[in-house]
Amino acid sequence: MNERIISNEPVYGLSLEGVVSINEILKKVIDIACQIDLVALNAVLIAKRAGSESAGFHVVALELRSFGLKIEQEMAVLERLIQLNVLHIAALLKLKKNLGLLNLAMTKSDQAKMLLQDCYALAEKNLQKEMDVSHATWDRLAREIRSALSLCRRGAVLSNNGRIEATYGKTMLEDMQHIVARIDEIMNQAVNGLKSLSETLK
Amino acid sequence: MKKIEIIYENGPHQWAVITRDPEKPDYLIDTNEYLISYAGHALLTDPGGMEIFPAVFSSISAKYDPRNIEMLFASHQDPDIISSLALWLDFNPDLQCYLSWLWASFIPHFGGNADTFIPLPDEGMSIQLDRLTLTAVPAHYLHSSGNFNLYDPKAAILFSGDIGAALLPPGADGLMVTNFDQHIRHADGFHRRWMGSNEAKLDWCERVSKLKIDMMCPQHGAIYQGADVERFINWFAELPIGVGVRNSVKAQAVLSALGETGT
Repeated sequence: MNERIISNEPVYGLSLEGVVSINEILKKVIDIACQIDLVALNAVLIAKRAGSESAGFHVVALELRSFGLKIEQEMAVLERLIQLNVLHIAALLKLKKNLGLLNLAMTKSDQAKMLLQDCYALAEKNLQKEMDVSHATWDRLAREIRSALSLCRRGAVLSNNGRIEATYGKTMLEDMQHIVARIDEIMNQAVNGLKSLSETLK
Repeated sequence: MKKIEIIYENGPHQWAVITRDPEKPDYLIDTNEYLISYAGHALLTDPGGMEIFPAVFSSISAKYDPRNIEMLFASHQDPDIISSLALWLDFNPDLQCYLSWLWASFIPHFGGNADTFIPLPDEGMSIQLDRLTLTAVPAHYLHSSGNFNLYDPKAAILFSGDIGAALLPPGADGLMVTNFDQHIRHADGFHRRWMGSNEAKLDWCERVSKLKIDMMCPQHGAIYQGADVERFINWFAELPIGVGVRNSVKAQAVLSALGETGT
């Protein structure tokens, strides 16, 4: 019998509590990152109001807008993946529970052990199958988090460009700086959250 | 995966329903779980069977932090109500489960220990969720002999367990009742067969008709809103119940006489 599988310890680091903690951090990152689109829209409007004086800022604002859409798509993928992850880990918990009960019954007598061994083997096979699926989803989540992290880093570069272009903003300088500061803040929070998750998932 | 939808929201106070799983196998009856949350504290009603635990848990975690669930409320003892208890307790061993005192020594067959259960006396009692006071409303024999509804006076919502339940066919399974007359046909057989006591039924109708109810939320089927709540109470008061067996036995006899088989 595979004692590691039926024990109450998380298998290969996968526990429901663990995945819920990761889920909660990711939900916060998703909420923050999805604000980019709205801020980028404001940047476009401000650039339009500033007119030809801020052609550079206008270009950056448009880039930010398209970046915002990409971020939203990436976050939608992450959202779907974390839900799948929770689903699989919860299913694992259920299968482990069943297996644990069968194991307990088999310890009661030799006859019980003999009668239940096929049943146990099947339950163990199902658990292993679910575990393989969980690992695949988990790995995909880790990959997507890395990809989101690199996307957010590109966002940070864009916001830096925005800061440079804002200096030509003349009358709209203050508004532009305010927008750039907000984008910086969002990107920093998203990058920090994703970085810590990426470390956790290593 | 099950959907999660917010049906009431007022500041820190929310009701969400977890429902309608398109991936659920046909042999399992669909269930509605309700998550009542107040200022980060949550109670889950009739959390469902062991089989659907992954779907319920993952749907909740899409919108809420399941670590905030502190209490479970089991309207009665059936497997589709509370057989997932052991899994919930694996996730959070400190969970407290409110249920009729009648089932307090039966439900531990699903899991839990002496500290898990808070037995509800027959007359019902208040349940405190942070600063929100909920009331366990007696609904005995409808259908279980130890049966409770849960009332939230602030939201004016009654979780009615199996009362008001309907077995909805595909295509007529919207979350809210929109056409009472069409909907109630899918509730008729369920109530005739599962509800056993006419006296208990009238007692319940009288009790809940005194409550202000904007939404009546059953564990299966669709949610009644506004005037449909009163329509349901009146319909139920008039419905002959506890005759489902007699009717199905009669039908069986007719089919046998015709040389056919019935179910």
